[in-house]
Amino acid sequence: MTVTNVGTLLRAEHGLFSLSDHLVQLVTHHDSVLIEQIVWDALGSESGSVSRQSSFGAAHAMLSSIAGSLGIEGPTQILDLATELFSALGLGQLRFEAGAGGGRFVGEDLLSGAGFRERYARGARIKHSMDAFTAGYGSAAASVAFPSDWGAFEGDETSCVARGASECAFSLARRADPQGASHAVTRVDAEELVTSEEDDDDDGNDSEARAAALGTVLALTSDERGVLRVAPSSTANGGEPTRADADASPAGRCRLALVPVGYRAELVFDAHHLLEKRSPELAPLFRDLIREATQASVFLAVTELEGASGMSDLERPVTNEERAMRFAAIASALGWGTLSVADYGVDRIVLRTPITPEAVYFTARYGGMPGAQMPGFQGMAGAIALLALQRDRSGPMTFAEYVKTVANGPSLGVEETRSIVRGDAECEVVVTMKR
Amino acid sequence: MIQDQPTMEAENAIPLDGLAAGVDYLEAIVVFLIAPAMTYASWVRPSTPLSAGAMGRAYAEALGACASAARRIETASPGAHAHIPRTVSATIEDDRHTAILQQVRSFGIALVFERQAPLGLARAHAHKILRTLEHELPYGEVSGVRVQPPPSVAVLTSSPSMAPTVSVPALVPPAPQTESELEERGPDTTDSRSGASLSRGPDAQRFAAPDLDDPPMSGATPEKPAIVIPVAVTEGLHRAPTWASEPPRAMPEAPPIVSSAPSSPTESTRTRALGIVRYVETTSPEPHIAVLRLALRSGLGLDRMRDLGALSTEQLMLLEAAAEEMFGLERGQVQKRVEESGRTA
Repeated sequence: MTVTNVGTLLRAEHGLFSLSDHLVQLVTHHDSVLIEQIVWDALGSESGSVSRQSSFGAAHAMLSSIAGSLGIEGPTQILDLATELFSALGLGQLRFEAGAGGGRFVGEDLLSGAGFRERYARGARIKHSMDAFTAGYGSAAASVAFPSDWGAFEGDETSCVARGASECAFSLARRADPQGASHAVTRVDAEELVTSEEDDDDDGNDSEARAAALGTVLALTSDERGVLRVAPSSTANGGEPTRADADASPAGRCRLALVPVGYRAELVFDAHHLLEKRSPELAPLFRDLIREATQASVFLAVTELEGASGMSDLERPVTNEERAMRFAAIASALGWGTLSVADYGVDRIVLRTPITPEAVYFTARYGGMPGAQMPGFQGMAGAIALLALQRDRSGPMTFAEYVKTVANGPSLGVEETRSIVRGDAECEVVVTMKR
Repeated sequence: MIQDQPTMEAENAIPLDGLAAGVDYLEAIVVFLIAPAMTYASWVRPSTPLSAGAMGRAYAEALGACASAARRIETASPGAHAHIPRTVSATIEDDRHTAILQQVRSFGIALVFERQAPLGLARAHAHKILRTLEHELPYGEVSGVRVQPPPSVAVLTSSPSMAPTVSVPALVPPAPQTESELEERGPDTTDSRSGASLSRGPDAQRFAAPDLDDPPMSGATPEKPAIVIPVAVTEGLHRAPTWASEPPRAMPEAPPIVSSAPSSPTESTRTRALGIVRYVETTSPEPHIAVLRLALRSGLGLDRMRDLGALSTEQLMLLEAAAEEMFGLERGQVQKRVEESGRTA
């Protein structure tokens, strides 16, 4: 397998990442696992279909585009491309045993299934399969590799490590039913929303930290298992994670991966939409949990990036406001938008960004909408507010430490005061902190 | 105890009267939940001395037994993974009636004809009626005792006329065949052989069209003995969620539980519910969102969970099933662990 760092795959613009023009964003396994669980909580067994469809649409558009632009043809070559890309993005490993009539594929170290075992205890198990994303991705890869008028492939997870199986296996069968419409989100969609040139002034920004964090992210390389982690500053080999580093995952280090923006946003917004239609009283609960998933993920990813070797030359921030600016800058390297601290007070923080991946997806699919909320952006703001209060902490934190921080920290209130989805020039969230 | 009177009322969303009109020899249409066994809606020809409640329970048990048998046969056969039956049907003929039973997702439908009805004619009528009802019934699953997935819970409970009539606190005993089946199974076989797994089999879920044809699993929980739980353990319900997009509403303080013998149905319900919530909070690796997830998973929402004593028996079952789903536990395991922790305390 060719070892490729993510920087050679990605284009970084406006705080967003694109891969062959398709927007992707960096998430941790905490985000993926919790979101799968929340959508399962909300929709029951229907969640698998919603998730697979979101994944299929995004992956099909992305793989078709990459294969087309690179001139890759032939089923074997396309499946190889899909497998290598999957691994390079930190999503795990895939092995296809498929032909034009169907077949199966096996996944190892998958972001959600293996991530479930990292997030919870190794012996923990659930009753449903976790890897709907991989099922959609694999079926999309097979559908691109073996195009047919008889329909696209559909992937079903037949065994999952989160359910106690030794591996995650998927069946592939062609279905005559048309797949759902794809809602690919591209950088062209993003550029239409950016109203001004990128603001390079340092007001509310820690541009040095942002550049260092972005450099660290773009230098990330997945290991032979398709696992992407930030190398801690003690790693001696110049930042490339070793097998020993990867094996240290149970100690609580985050696993990172790049997922299509179209997948994550469609999953969240479609599930929210279905829930609003059926049980509107549960929709705020769903939004709170999505926000929490993002908050935990960004919080932990930022602490890991802060402790990376490429960040060690930066001066340590002194005040809470400086810390908030530092963490906003680091979070800006996750491909979720360029965050800046517009205001910082004792009990409130105001964060702004010209654009967020969620907003790009939302406007591309639905257009503008008054009252629309972007729970991911709100969660990011919450993470930065919490991080800014951690005076004595530096370097990576574990999930258990995050839980303690939340339990002992202030109660956060969030208000999305401005949004490009509502017609404003930028997005703004005000976080209030109550002890 | 399920009351025996038919649950079909004029405002019921399922037009059973209309379906029965003009169908020769038809004596009754009974729509029932398979697990727990209870009548959901019914139409009985006025001159017929049949009890909708009794029919619902009996047919639910019969259909559950058929499903269990079919599943055992298939799973014991070579290549069982290739085809696991997701729905079953049965025909019961006695000297007075011919009953055609069909499973539709977590429901069963019984069409009871006079014995002299030609079987072919009965089947033709039944097919037509079943096709209509299949679209009318809410989607849902029977995973554990999950009657409906959260979004559909409101549908089931918001219309009193459609909700099964159940008195508190007794629950319908579990369908014996599924309960014994659960006992026979080891913990590791659950996912691959239980009804829950059948909904996740290769044919179970389809793109865009959720196919929730689940076979029946276990029945409801029998009434549990009293539980002793230290009140101090649970704080989550009295603490606003850390993330609050709305101003947090204070939860009423729980009165101390001083006796292990609940004196009223409300207290009994509250004690059991509190035990479940405490278990989830103390066991979950993510205690800060455990109650939120439980509220979402059970479909109860935070408002209902703020007054645990006011939960109906059905809502209590949903709460327990949600906790079991969250931890991947077998039916009844949460209650068992709650009781054990109560004894330890």
